[in-house]
Amino acid sequence: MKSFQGISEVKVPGGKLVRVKCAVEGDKISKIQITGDFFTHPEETIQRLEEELTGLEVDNEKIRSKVHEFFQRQECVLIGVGPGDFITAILKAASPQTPE
Amino acid sequence: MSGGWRLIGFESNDASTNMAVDEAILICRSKGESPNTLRLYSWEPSAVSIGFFQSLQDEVDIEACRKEGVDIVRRITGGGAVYHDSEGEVTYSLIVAEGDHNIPKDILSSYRIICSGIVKGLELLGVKATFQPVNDILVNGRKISGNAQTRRMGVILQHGTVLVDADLNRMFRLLKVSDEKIRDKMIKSAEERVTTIRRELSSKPSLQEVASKIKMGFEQALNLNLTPGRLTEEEFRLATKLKREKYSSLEWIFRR
Repeated sequence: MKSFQGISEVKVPGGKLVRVKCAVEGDKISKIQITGDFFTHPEETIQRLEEELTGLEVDNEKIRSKVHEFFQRQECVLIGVGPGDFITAILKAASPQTPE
Repeated sequence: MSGGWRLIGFESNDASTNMAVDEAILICRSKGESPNTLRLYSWEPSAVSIGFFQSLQDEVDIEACRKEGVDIVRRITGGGAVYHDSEGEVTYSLIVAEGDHNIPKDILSSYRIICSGIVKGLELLGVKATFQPVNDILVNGRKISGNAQTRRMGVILQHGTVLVDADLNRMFRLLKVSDEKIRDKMIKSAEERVTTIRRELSSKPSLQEVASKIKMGFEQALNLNLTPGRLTEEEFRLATKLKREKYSSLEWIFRR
């Protein structure tokens, strides 16, 4: 059973930086932290996203639809970053061979 | 309370006090107990502030800050890490209830409106600056002011910096550079991307003078009538509590 920690960094063109640190145990995200110099209103959104991603199966399509569905559900304004940037960073950090 | 605006400062505080006072005013404004407020302040000792979502260890050389006696604080606003030099920067915060004073509900537009106070203040100092969305103010393409906003409990808090003088070497000692080898390059590129009032005017006005022009800038650009005031008892009590329990706590500072 694979278990690893991954880090990724996505620089949004003309925008901000998103960094994801993520621990994967078996086929699930066991811990995830999203950091960076972006803005979300309200700010608590990111913690809620982290909570919802924890326990999720590491599967590109599942992660992608989870993040999209999350931001559709939340009344949230993102500045300097979009859902797609979070997805890119999360997929990179959660994949065993983190490409640089 | 609405109508009148209160001016607090120009004053100088340590980092945790500065952030605690901003939040205390926001909370009291949300309860309708405090007026809309413009605060002008500096940081004594010099400090590094990091954005709400940033990782402290990724952004700040904690040991270098300790050695140089530089405070570290986490803001309640997003955005990036900032070095606040005690002699080189004036900071403002503007706390206004949403819907008051025609400040747009739309966040991007409200940055532009609030930043127009800084642009006007710089103009009064003789520096021609422009607003650059989302949250920067530039002089000839170089950043002179960074701004960050949060909205909580129906209140807008926007705070931001005005660079009066800059010690970029020190800034890059305190903030982490991903690769040590590119530190010199980063400083060089920062010199091209950042400017200060001193550089633009070839002389350095006092922080007091800069603060006073920023105040006038806000009065003129936003059509405010500012009355000098001080913290209410409740704001002071709350700020003391927030300083102790939140902004000085390792739990908050190392939160991410």
